[in-house]
Amino acid sequence: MSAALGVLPASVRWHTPGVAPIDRLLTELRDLPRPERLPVWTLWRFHELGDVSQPPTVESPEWLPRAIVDAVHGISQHWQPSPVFGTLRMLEQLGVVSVEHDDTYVLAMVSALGDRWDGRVRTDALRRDAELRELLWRVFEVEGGGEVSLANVDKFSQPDATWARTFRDLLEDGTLPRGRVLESCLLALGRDFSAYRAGWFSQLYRSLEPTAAERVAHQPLLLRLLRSSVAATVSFAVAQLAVIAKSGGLDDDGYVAECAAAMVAPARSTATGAVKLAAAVAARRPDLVPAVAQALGAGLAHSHRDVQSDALAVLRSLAAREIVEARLDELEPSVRRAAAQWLGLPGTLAENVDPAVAVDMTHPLVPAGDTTVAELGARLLAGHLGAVDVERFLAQLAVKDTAGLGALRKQAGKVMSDPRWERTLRRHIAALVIMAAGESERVVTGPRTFLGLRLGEVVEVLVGRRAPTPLLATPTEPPGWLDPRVFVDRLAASPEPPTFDVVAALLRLAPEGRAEALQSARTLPGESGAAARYALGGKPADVVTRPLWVAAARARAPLADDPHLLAARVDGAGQGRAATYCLHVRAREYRFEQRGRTRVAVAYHPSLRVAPEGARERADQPTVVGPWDGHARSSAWHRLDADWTPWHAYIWPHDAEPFFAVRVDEVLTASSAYPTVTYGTSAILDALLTHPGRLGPMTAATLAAGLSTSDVQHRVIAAEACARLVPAGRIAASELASAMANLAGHCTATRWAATLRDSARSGQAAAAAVVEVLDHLLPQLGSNHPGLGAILETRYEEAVRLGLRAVREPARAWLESLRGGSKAARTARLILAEATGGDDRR
Amino acid sequence: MSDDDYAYAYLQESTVESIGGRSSVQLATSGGSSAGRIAAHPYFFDGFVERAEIVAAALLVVARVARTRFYTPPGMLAAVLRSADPVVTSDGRHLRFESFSACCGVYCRFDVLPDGLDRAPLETGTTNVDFNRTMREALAGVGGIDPIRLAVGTDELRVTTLDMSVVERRVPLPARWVKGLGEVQALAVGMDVRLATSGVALRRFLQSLPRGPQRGVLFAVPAGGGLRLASRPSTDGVPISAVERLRVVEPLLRHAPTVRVYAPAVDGEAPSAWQVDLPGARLTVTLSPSASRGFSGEGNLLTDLADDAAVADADLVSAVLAYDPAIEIPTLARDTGLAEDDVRRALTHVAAAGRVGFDLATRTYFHRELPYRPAALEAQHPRLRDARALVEGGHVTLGPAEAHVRSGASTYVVRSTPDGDRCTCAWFGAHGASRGPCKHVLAALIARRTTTDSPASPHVVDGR
Repeated sequence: MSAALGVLPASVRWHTPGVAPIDRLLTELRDLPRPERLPVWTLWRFHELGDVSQPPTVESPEWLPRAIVDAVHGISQHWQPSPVFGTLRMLEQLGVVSVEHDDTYVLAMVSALGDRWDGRVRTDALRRDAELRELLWRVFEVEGGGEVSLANVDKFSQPDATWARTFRDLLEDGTLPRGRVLESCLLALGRDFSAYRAGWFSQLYRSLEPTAAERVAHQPLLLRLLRSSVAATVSFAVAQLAVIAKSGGLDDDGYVAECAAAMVAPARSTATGAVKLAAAVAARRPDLVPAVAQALGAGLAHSHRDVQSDALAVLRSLAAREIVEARLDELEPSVRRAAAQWLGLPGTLAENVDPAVAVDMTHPLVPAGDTTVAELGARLLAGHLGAVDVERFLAQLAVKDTAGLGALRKQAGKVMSDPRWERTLRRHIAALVIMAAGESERVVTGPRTFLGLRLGEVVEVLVGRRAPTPLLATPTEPPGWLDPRVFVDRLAASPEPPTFDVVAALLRLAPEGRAEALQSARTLPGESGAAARYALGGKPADVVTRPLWVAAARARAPLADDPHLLAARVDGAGQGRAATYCLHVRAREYRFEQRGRTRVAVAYHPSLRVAPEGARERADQPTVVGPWDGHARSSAWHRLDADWTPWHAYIWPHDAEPFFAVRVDEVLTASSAYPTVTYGTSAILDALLTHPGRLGPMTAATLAAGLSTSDVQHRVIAAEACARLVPAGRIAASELASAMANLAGHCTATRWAATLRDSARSGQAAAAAVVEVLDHLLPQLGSNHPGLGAILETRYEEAVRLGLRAVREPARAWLESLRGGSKAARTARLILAEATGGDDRR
Repeated sequence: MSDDDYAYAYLQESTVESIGGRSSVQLATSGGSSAGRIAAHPYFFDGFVERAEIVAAALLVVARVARTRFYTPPGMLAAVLRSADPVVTSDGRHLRFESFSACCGVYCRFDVLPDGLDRAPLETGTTNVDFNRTMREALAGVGGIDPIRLAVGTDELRVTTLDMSVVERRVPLPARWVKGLGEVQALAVGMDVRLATSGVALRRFLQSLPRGPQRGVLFAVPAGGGLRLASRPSTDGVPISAVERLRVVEPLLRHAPTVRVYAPAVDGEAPSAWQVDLPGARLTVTLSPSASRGFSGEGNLLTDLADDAAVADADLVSAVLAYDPAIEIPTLARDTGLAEDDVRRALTHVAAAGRVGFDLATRTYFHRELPYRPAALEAQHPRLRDARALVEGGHVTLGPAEAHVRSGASTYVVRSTPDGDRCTCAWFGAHGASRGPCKHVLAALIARRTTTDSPASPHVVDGR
């Protein structure tokens, strides 16, 4: 790019006496080298001239028209910070260029006619350019996308500099005809635009506050919008038609012909609004009753109880029995019961609940079968880092089985050099592959963790510092258990096992077969042998290497204090004493300015406390994690990439708590009202389904947060975990409820309600568990808790489905305390009416 | 026009009008064939189709799929979407409208059945149809339960007298469509009905899902008269990824008494086909195994395409295809004198050029002749091309249970196991056999066939 032109201010550059600035620019552009002919930049050069009223007297460079066309294309794709579209118009009017006024041109106008800080630029341009005003109507026809659309430009502009404001200003001063703007908005809404971009047109229409007469005139267009695929547009149309109906102007025939689509709009209020309008039509037009009844049948197929109830009530008044009977199986339990009673049919409901679906819990850990080390290496380098595959790969490397790994050298090199894989397990695997291929030691830096140090022991073998020996800790049973008899045999064949391998093996000892293994372990030599015997239930010996004895004690009685270690003063949490964890959530208010207004938001900061106090995380003792809080992630595990998670989960199959105590943090992030992208949440929640050990308060907290995540996959896994763990008693309903109450501020109650409904659909036991959890949870929530209505509705419908009438105390008393006409209070009364056998049913 | 471009030339733009209170859709056509001959503007049908609002909504779904990119690869955010126009095939009984999403991960087919048409189509053939913006907007306004008039193409004599100008539009040659159409039929052949549900249940299921994109693979399973998602496979579960792609069928579900879901019997990522049964019609949306996997990149045809012996059979099979509404393998075997297995392999070659599709509802193939003329078939399948190069370069050494394939500086081991061939390359490590064989497995396969077909040749194929 021309350096001389780039540094001089425009005022100096273009004021050569006797030469028009545009002539000078065109002359200079003619000599511009080809690589410097950048389209948008070229347009900017003209923009710097300011207003030019006289056509140039010199010829334009021949490449200029093409560059301007490309510039128009560029600004139609990328929102411009300054109003360069005005410059384009100037060049057209001066006859310098001629550009086709197609969709691209229209989007370029949307992008760059205005200034995002100053609304007057766009308004003035439109006031003075009649041709542009005619072109303006095309903005209602061209959707745009990415950075450039009316919706997006307005979203990131100052309130006074939006396109919507421009339209309002030009309507106010009479520059634009009001009727055409209103109608154009409705036509745009019928154009199959995305929901985000369609919203701009409905907002503009609303903001112009059309009169009743204007709305009536627009009725055909509004009726057509009832069939829109954009839910918000349907809501908008129903709201407008309701206003028309209020004024007595509704086209009854037209409405009845189109309203069925609105009855199934996702938003409850939209569908109930549509039902209400239909009911009114049926009341004043008996000839339309059959058509209204048909349309209301669609309302019965809505997923929301309120819509179904409203539609049923109208259908009952119309005596439309056949329509109701045909939809009976699609109704929510409480509505179905009411409908069945009206029809005189048996109201059995429980058949709607399937028997519990068997879930294959072992699936993620099923070994991949007969696989060579090279095939395993290729899988791991590709990111398929299942715990069993990692263990099997290490087991093969530990005996120097490296056949075929040379073929993976190039792939491993790529992983090592790619900054995306910093702190990942994948990078460690790549280093192992390179070393296995015979190259010198590769050091992968990262936090010291138990797993990292286990990898280090395999590195010792690969670089020749340790003799190849079979690993002790390779699991023999899913999901991660080690048969004690196999362990003893392995240890007997390995006189000097590496420490981390022994610790890993001890922590994985399965409960079964220990007595037999202890018999075989009598002659095992050394401290490892003594620790192994102690882990299997044998006698204690001197504690020299603490990690061995801590692991032995935690294998021997995983959840109890260990007298031998206490006597040896190895009495920290997760050592001689069993560790317990408690998650605290602290709410903190903060204020911020947005669009000129002060807003208040609440942030929730989690922290972990570990008892007994003074717990310290040690890489060689993975039976405890250290305390952490929301600001200072002190645990080494926090600093690892998500791809370590599956392997991390199976360090200690006896107890899931240390794992969840540190990993709950990520699930809390995924479950916040404004979640950021997380990468390990699925694997963390998956451990809820597969971990065989003790599940305590940290597990309950992870599940409570998981039930409120925004991601589909996370919610599905959490719903399954709830359906499996609570009925089986692995997590008590009261414990899950306490965890939910603890996180009630942080989590979103409506998400809880939806996920619990999904969980309940797994089977009757799961549905009963949901009711029990909610009975424990409700008394711990405030009567004005956001989303309480949805929670109560879940409680009500699932209880009706199961035929559970009783309400536990203190939930009953708490329900009785709800007063008023809120949705929550009304649903509470329905639940209580069930309990008392009353008939307070809709 | 560049070699990579394809030009549509329509006599006029497609239109939607209201004539005498009834909606009338006039679809303009471009290229392809009619009655076995190449035609510039085929004319297949002019009649009434049951019911206006359903046909309009279904055509909009086909058009929407064609112009939607459900997945944008990193670095492609600013890519201009120049989508291919849908194609319509008439076999003399059905009209089948087909489209692929711009990302090639969603395939949509709207079949108007004989029951839905008031008369049989005039001709057989395949052509492109124009779905311009104005026409789509008008189509969105079509409602009512009356039949809709639908014309696919026009009587050219009449058009000529009206002195209509030709509407031209250029798009990149939809080679990915051609590959995708071949892969979709190959995948469909391996699918069975896994569950059946109602339109109401599917709508509720879709509406209950969070709005964000779904990552990873989940399984749709029946639950309480509806559907729910599960994280683990089960016998009645249908694998599904990026379930939000299925929302395109939502406008039709109000009219659908039944939705049948087809999928192969596999545990992990897999395609699924969602067939929405409508009065007199069916709309099927087939989703690729994950959002980032377009059908065109799947390699399910490669094993059969590597079989040179099937090429001659494919020519024979092609010769007897004549837009039969249902092509059945036994019939084709009888007509050609080939064994049924040979017919299947030959059909793979024919399908790879997009010339046959598979109808899940009837479990039969159907014939189409795409308007596009893709370059040599093998150029469309880089893995196959590379595999042949490895064999021809003498880089494959066959052993009794494994083959060593030298590629660049690395030698990969291809091992035969009861679960299929395995390779030690990075590609196989990432995808396993779920996307067809890697080039090393293919090379070993070709080399084995070569030695089997030529008894005199050495057991070891090695150029050194």
